[in-house]
Amino acid sequence: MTYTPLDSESKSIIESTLRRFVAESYDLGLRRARLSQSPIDYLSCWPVLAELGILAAPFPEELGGLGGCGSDVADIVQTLAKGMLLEPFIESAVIAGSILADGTNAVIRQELIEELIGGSCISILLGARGGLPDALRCERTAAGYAVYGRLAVVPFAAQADVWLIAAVDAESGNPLILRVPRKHATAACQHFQLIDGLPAGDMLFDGQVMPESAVWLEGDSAKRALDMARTRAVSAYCSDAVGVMASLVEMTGEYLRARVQFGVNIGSFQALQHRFADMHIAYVEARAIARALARSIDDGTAGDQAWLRFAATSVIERAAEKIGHEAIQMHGGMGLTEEFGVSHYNARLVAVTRMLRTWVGPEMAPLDRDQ
Amino acid sequence: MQQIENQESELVPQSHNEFDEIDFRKEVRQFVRDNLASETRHKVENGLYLSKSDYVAWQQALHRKGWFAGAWPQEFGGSDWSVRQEHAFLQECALNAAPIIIPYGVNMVGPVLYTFGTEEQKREYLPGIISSDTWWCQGYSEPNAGSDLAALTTTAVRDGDFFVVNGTKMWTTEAHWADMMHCLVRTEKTARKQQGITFLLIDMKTPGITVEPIVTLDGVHHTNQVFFDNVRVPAKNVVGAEGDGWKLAKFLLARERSFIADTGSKMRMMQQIKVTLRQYAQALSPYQRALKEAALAELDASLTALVALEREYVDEWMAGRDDGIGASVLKVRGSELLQRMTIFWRDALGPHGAAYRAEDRVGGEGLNAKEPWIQAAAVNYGYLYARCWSVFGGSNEIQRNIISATLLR
Repeated sequence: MTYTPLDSESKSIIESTLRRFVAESYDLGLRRARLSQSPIDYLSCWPVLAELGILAAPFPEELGGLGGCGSDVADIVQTLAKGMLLEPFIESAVIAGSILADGTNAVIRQELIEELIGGSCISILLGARGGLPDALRCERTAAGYAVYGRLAVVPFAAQADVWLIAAVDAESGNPLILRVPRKHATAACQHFQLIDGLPAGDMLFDGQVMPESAVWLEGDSAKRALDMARTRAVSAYCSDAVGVMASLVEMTGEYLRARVQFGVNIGSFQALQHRFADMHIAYVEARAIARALARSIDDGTAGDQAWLRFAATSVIERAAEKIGHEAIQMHGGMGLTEEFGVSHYNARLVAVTRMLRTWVGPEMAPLDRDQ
Repeated sequence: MQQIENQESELVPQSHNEFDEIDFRKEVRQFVRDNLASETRHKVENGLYLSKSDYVAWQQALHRKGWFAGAWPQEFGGSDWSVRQEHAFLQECALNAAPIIIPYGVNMVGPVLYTFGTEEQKREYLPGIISSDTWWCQGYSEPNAGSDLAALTTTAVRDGDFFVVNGTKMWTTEAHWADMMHCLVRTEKTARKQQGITFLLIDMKTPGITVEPIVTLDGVHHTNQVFFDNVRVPAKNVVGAEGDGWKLAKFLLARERSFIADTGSKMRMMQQIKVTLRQYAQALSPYQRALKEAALAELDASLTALVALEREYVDEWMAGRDDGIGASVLKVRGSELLQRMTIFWRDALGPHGAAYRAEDRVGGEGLNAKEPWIQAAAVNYGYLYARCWSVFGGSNEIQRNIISATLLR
């Protein structure tokens, strides 16, 4: 698969298009209004995203995409982050998209990617995230594959049209990815809401049988596809967090300049200046490591990618906590209100960093890492 | 609660002169067990939403025992408790899952009234405060007067036997439950902004008052913005002299902060955190578990230090010494420890630490629920509300200003 970087002109057109989309469709008031409806429509902007062509971003040109470079996708996610999208751009277009793009049946692959880019099908990867013991296993039966196991906090479990089930073959120990339309598959699923308003579910597979024809990838090619999907997932969530941090640093700067107490702008207090400087440092550091991870998708080794997944998650988790909480604190009472954006951005950071931890555990052995 | 009882030796100091602290703590503990409504205890133990009636019923039970205003002088219905006794009382109540005492009446306006009020004001308001029949709120902050409280601009203009009040107050917690507000208003524009402020009692039913809810980041309606449009308040509702407001506010805020470290609640929370971690540690690898335990040990050590620090300040205050910054030190350390504890607690839930919906902690089983996202609602409420602690009651920035200004004087 060859990834082609976007030329600078296309890049700036995409960026301004997405900025306009966020400004028009993702005003905080509109977002809150959507979340206050029952049931919540998590897909109302999905057709718009399809129309903007942005669902094609994670795919190489040969598959009808915009190029699929890791760094381009990261920049797009960062721009969208300002809106705190309620649609599964990362989960369906980036993560599931990556699994679909690695499919070996070229004809079906093309069909599915066209469907995804066109916005008519939401796919979600289940299992194999790596940061959790949420490995599914399957057993061959006469009717197909019986799937067993539990998954915790799967985003958009209920919204998906297609499940990509990553399981380990109990007999051979080989990884396997099954592609099953929702209408042909069941699992016990309990749904709940995350702190940033997004939907998630806990799932239980208790021997549900998927047909033999559901096998999408197996063995080494499944392993490679899952590895790539994992790197793309972590990169996208990191970029999302970085985009949110950018908004928080910007808002806090504006507030420090505008808010007057004791007859002066509060930004004239040195104690706050230093803390604001630390927020900025944490942000640019997080942005740098997120970019390094994104670049490794395009030209890094599997070893680079594995280390950077861990390193970026670690740095971004700390930066997110610092920036989220400092932004609230420096906004004082305003930071504590539900009406104002700061606390929502912090909630988003909490959710995104928790999601990152489902993909990346703390187990990296720095002493054993080759230098 | 067994683990908490084991901590007794840590809590109780070796020497006690005024009263038998060990005995008193036992008595308080027993009282809470016997008199706290089981429904309310269930809510507190499980991190669920408390309604006004939970607080009122508990406060009235304490009143019947003569403990609601224990720190007040006897002549006004109190028990003349020392700081040490009040401290022991609050800590035991919190350890045994009693709701906090809402301070706006009993701890704030009450002492102002018995210290500075007229005989008529004492007669009129103190009984309602002690019996919790009158609910009070505090009208201090304004949109442009937060940390800079003296910048307040809500005006009260004299008109015969009345003051006519215009303006707005922000962050008026529980104004939607309140019968009365104690309010700082500007009665005079002066060169020094701390002058010309007057302490005024306002009946919330007076025409011209509008209470607008402010929903906070936890999705809960705790606080409000209150608007005054030509609200006529009898001039006899001024406490102290006209222009004495700043002096009275400082007196009141000093009391607001004295038990701000809220160590009883934090000790109880630490036990709950351990329960959660034990439950979720099963999903962790030995390495992940070791990391969590090391982090927990550090938090637990910080809590032991906070308890010891609060104890030392209480001893100092008992000995009549006051460096003037103890409350600020305790507020900064206490609120920031609470924030660290709640972040740890949230993360102990693993991926479910991302779950939160405010409605999931209205009723139900909360922390005791078998559904992890319901537990998460209670834990994340604690996490979100903890962000408020470093802002309200004088932000931590203001507390640090007070500390360094005092030390560097």
